[in-house]
Amino acid sequence: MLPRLDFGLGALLPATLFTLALAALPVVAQDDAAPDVPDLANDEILPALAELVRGHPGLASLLPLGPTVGGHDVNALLLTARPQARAPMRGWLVVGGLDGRRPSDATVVLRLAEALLEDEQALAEVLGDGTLVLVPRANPDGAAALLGGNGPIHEQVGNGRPDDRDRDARIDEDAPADLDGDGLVTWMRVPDAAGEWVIDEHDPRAMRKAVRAEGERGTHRLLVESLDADGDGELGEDGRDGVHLDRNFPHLFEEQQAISGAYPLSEPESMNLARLMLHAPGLIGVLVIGPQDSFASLPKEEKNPRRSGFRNSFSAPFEGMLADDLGPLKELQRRFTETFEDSGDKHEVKAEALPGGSFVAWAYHQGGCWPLSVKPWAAPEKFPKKEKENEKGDDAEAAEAGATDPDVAGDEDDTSSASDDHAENAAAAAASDDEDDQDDEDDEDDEDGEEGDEEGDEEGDDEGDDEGDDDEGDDDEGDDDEGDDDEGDDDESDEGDEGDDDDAAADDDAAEDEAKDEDKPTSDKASPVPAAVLAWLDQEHEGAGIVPWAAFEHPDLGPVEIGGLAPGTLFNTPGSVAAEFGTRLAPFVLELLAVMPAVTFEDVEVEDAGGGIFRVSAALVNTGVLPTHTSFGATTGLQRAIRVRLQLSDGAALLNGPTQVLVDRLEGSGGRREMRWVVSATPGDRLTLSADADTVADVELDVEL
Amino acid sequence: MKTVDLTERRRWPALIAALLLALPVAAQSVREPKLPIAWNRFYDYDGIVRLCTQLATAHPESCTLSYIGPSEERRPMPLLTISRDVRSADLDSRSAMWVDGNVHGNEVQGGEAAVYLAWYLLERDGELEAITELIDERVFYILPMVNPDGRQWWFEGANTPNSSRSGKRPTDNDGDGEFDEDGADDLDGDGDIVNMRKRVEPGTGSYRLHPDDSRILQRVPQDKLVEWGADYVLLGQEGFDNDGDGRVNEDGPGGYDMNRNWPAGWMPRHIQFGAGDFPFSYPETAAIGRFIAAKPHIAAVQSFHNAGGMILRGPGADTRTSYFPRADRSTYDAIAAEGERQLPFYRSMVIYDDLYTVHGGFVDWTAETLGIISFTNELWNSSQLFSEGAGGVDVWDDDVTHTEKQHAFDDLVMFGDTWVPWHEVEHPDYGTVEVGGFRKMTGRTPPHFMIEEMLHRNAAFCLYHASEMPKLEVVSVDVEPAAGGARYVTVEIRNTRWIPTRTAVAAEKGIGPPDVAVLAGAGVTVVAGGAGADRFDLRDFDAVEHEPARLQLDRGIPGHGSERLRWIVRGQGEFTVTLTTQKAGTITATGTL
Repeated sequence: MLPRLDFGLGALLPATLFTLALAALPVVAQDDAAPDVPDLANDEILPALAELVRGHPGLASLLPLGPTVGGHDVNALLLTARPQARAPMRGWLVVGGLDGRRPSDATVVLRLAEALLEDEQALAEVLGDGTLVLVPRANPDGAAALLGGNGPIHEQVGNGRPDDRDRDARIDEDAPADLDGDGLVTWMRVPDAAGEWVIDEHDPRAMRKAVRAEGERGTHRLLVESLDADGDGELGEDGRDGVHLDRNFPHLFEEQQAISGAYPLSEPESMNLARLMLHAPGLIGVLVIGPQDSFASLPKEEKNPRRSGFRNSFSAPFEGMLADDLGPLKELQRRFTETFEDSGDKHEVKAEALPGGSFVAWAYHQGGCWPLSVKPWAAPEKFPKKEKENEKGDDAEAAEAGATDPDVAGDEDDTSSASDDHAENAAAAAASDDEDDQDDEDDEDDEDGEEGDEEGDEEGDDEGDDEGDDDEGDDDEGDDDEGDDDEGDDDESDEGDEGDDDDAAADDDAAEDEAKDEDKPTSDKASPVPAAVLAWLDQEHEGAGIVPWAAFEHPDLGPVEIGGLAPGTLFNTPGSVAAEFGTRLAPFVLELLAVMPAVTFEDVEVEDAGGGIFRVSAALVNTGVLPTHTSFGATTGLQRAIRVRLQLSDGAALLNGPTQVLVDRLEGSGGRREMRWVVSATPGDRLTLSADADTVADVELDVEL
Repeated sequence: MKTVDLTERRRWPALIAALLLALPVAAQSVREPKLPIAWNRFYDYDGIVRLCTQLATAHPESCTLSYIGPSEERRPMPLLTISRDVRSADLDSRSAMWVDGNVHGNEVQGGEAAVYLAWYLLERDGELEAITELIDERVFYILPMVNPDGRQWWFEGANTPNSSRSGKRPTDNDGDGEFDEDGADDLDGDGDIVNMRKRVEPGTGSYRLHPDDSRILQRVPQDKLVEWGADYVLLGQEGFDNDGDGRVNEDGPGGYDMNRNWPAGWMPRHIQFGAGDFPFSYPETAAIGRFIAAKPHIAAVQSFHNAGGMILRGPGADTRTSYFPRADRSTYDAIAAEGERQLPFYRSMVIYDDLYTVHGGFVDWTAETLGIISFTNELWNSSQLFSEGAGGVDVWDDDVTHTEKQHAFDDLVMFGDTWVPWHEVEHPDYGTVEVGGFRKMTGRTPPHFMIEEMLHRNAAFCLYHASEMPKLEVVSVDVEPAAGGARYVTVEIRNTRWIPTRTAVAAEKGIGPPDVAVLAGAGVTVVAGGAGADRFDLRDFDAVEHEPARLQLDRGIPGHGSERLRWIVRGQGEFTVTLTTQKAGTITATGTL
């Protein structure tokens, strides 16, 4: 609750300026029938937004959020039907592309904007005095790495801020590199009996972890394409990832992790998003397009948050959500599912767990906002079904396939038939009901395992801390353990697992289970070159994205093979999927606007008690679907309460009742707070009831006595 | 006065003893100060800026004045840099100490303490060997006013000893959408905010006048209200309901705590009062953060607060104990132990354990995030008023309250200077009330005649801390034959002070770069290399697998310890071993094969 708008909202640019300046610039590709939709380059985002502004001057304007570490600009589209765009913003914020490996999030957001603006009338109606802010690409520096604007094409999750990732007093000295000159930074597999990887026996392009528990020894190391540029024995260990913006927000920020940044909101990109939220407390929720998905898996309920005596708030941060907030979130989930299914297949993806320092968690835990996230697509973990098998009418199988690839689930033939010929290694031919059953179990196990692990970790941490406090001697042991953990994480990322936030142990288990029957093809989802993704690329994309392994004489390692998957393949939503997803998201975003809280005074009664005394009563009622505040926002004071005031005309006087009532929260669909006053006045005097807040529009009611 | 060589740790007790013995002499000496400054008073913002300007003007070779910020109310924040040839480009190669004060606007003496430190350093430079050496070898960054707005408001506004702790960014503390709309009100216009009391029907109040001293209210037990005829109610601090919401003084100027705004275990304000929207969200903290982050040679931090007589170190919260490994705790304890001798009435304490939990405090950030040995001193302990427990005659019965002692001191020593006698004023809501109480310059700040001692003793602690920043010397360079025509080169480097070149927390949490030792020579080929070399067995050292000429010392050179580095080399001619550290500069050793 800051007093002044010193953020750059004053920089809202009039639509006409862009109409003139950018009239000749290209438009976003609109042809849904195109085989794929290319990702927009960074310098195509602003023209795309400007085109929307030009086409819809009454609703759309541009909101610059500021420059990035690398000197790009982040821009947002502001949709509002109000004449004064600079009035307090009340509505929702949609953000894509926080993760540099996901440039097609921008396609989702832009297609969403186009779809929303298609029917201006409908949008204006549902907007009312509300606002929708759309940020297509929050991390253009990271995206540039995948789009070829920043050296060879490589995956860069963060913003590229230089750092000493391996703590050797040298900065970015040993980055992954394009050794074979194909313009891509891919993978190297190195024959090495000390390695923990093996070549998949069913698809020699794929790599999987050796199942040591069953007596299998690794045959290869799997390293990102790189040299040992600094001669320290590590390859490609200090590159240009920079700070991961979705780890840079203050809630549960992980300190001393280079990927998180030097301190919370150390990065201009994350800071500008945070400032936007803090200066526009009427933005009641965020919808993040990214690797998390609050619809596929609702956040956990925080059952016993630690309370503090101070304002009945909390004494420690926590991961889950308050029970009172999960109800409305479930309703939003229901509406999402309903609107999405109206336009085609179900939305079923396996989303990543919410990391510390994420934007969406910060929006709830330090902004009191509704924390929505959606993952348009996940790289398939199971083999695609061949057309003829689907035609057998195996419902269970179809549903299973749909869980990883929406294209295959419902109208499976439409999208998958064309690429059948290329499914040379799609060992799905061998798939059977048994395997499906097993897969189901595996999935359940995975999820249980993850939850169990997280809880276990938390308890472990607490215990460790307590012990450390009680017994000084234990401190150093705990420190050592932490140091080991850090090293372990680094090792993992060196092996190319970065970005895979799934619990590694669970992955290993799954890989082991799947590998039990050696005759059946399996796919190691922990692998950077998983068999199922190769099969899917064969079938759906004519093998595009697969980089065949090719021999290479490595100066440090000797003979290796370079290949695997093109950068971004496992993370970036395919363009056509992103475009369709954005369009299909529009009805839900309209729902988000439609369910916003709004208050009104109802049941206003004036009773003449005689002798110039009046009893006045009224109720403040929430006519919207969502509560006026999240329970968390109300409890913590992060969201300002609704202030109700009674004003009397001169000569009248308040005999009883409050001059001001702070209403911290009204439930949706009729939640109410009743108030009573006794007033001394002469008939004809006026009193005014007013309510003002951040999360709902102000209302005022005049009453004549 | 005898000068003492600070390089010898064991001589410190002697130095302190010498200082203690010599102080009265020094204070009474006829030495004319180079820059006379009155240290028996406090200075407002302009006064502190004036002192800083005078210091920089008087000592242009060793002191510069710059400004960071500005503050929320646009006040530039003066920052003194002190070192020999202070305008030279190689300041970064000297260990540096950061000293600040007055992050809480009302804790004013931190400002004077910081300026006094600067003054004393510059005043005695060239006269006292210990001081001269500190200016020769160290850098001091001294920021007297972290919170210049709160300081200025404390002086010019009507305040209590405890108010104006915050900065001055308007803040909605009561959640009504209005900012700073209902602060305290100086009902009688005397410049002090004191208490309000009102006489009521006997038996209906909750206090009565103290039978021996009508200035003091006695709380009456619930079951004696009628019997004792409780006839007073306390109505809080001077003020009324400015915004008509039924509450008094609930949203005054500012209303946050800049010592909770730093990014180490930072918690949002519903968990940690005053934290701000995010770390570094205030211009003052952001400016300091930028400055300190750009000066990685800072190896010691001191922050001055009031009050209570404490030498505080972190952690600020029980969840952060892992940031204080055993080796660092030893360093803290060694320095704080001397501090307790320099500072009678002060105790060495751990913030979360001995005081209270602080999330996102300044020294939390410098210690935990930046790995710097950091202390917060709480200046002034009211036991000093009567030197209680310090060898004087104990004149107080056990049941004498703190308030009664305060009155006694005001009566006997201050002659009524610090007390506002109860007097009647008209209150818009309560009718006729009485206002009275101790003025703002009591309780948390010493009386004027005790200020200088407080400043000097705290400066002495800073100077000791500064002298214990790492200082390196080459102990030996040995070349000995190895089999096959190769040679062993062994270099031992010692740190003669308590603070290591890299704190244990820095090593364990990966803060900053490791120290790096490089052996180079035109005709020299390095075959193997490693640290941890044995004194006698040449074959015994921790040979690294890669880059044998470049050794990373993750734990640096320990306090009062040494590191023996050894290489196996071939070739001939001169070689150089260069140890580069972030906190203690670079040291080189040369030899010939």
